[in-house]
Amino acid sequence: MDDLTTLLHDAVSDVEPTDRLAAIREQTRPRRSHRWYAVGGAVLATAAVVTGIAIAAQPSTDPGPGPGTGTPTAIDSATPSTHAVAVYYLGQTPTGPRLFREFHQRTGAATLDEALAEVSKKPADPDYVTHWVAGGLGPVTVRDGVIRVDVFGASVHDQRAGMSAEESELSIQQVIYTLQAAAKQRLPVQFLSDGNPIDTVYGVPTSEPLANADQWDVLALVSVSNPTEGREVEGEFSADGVASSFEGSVPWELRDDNGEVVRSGVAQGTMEDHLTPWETGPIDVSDLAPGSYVFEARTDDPSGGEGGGPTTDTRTITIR
Amino acid sequence: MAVRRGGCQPVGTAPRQTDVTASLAPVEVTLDADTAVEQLYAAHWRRLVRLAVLLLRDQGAAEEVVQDAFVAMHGRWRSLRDPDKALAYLRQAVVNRSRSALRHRGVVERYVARQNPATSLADPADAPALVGDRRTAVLDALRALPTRQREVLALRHYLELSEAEIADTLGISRGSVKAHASRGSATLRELLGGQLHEGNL
Repeated sequence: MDDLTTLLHDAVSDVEPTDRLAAIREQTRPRRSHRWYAVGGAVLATAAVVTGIAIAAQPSTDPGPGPGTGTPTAIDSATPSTHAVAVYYLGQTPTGPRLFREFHQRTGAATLDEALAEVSKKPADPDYVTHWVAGGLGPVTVRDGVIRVDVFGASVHDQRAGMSAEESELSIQQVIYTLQAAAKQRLPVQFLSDGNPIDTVYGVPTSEPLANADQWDVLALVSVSNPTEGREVEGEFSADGVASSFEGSVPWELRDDNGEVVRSGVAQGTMEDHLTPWETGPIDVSDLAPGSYVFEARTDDPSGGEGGGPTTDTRTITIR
Repeated sequence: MAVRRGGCQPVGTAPRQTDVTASLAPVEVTLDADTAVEQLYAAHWRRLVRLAVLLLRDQGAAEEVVQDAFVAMHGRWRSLRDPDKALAYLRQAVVNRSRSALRHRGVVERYVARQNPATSLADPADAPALVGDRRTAVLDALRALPTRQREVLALRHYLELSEAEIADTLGISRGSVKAHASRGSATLRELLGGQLHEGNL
């Protein structure tokens, strides 16, 4: 690989697209009603004639499925575009709670406020939690290279009952990591109350702008990006995410309703000083009975469980 | 019904595709369109979105473009029939639709106004921030190139296509591919001089 090849691959290596298979299926779904076919046929014929004219009138210098031939992309039309928002939530690992990343699909403009709003929403994965409540955070502004966030609520100042000091720290980092992901920059975050720096949030000192904590200290060592929770699959699917695992290996398995492993493998990532992407490649599930299955990815644990065992992340999927 | 969507657009590589009536004829095919979409999605969705990010800079817009390409491919399946041809079609659709998206919308730069982070507050050993800066610099530099040069570089250095494949995808001659590639990489190297020589990959 030459230098440009390396640079271009690297430039998009952290792009984790949202899962849009369901949306594509929705747009390409066949209608099975006979009545519909009769009507549809007529509509089709008309559409074909109209488009045929459009093509005839177009210069043919632009090969391929280009613009302007009757199917505007969503971008050209008034349809608002959707995008993925990376949101961090607390989840359990053998070494205590850590932050896991989930992607939420949103419509409209991507803003820091929008990303922050996700933090207090219920995560899609039932294994995750958030301690922020709706209305407790925001708005967000960026000034002089510092992200500023207002916090609200009578009890936000002190450590909450039932929340450990570690969970409080993580909840602060949850906001920092989510906002930095939305800003696509590691900007420091200042928590405010009534527009002024607040000395503690959930008992964590916050009077100064806070940097993100080291990945090793706060992030789960494996996170699944795809499939998303509850995804329906048919025939085959592939899984991907980020991890930091022994020798870059990410063992995965697919279990049926009874917890029986029906597929398993090892995805190979790389080993670096930060979490790096892994992917399974296509997993053929065409011979599996329809139903609910659990996909699990984990860190490799060469110690055989001595260090508390591997970190895992799971997604429940439905095979059709 | 599938032919209604994108079914009538000319494709450079496959024969007879401008014949509208051909794609309307009921044809028995072995691999159906839904399965083809499913398989190609599993294998190529992420890579194509990343390609579109290189072309468009914006991930939301990139996903839209690739989603549309898949829907269009589903509509064309009867004339494509072959996963390799379908993949070539998808690549072409992604490049063309990205170009059109840039042209029509000027893609709104949606990320927050970039100011340099206060370095005293950032961990000096904060590798992710440095990595993020480099990635941003590469995407910015690509955006600064003329469209054709950017397309050729993305197809050559990201999808790692051959000159002939790039020529097919873009509907231009191999000579043009060469010319765009050499001009584009010269400019990109100039813009990214620091990134290339610091050896910080």
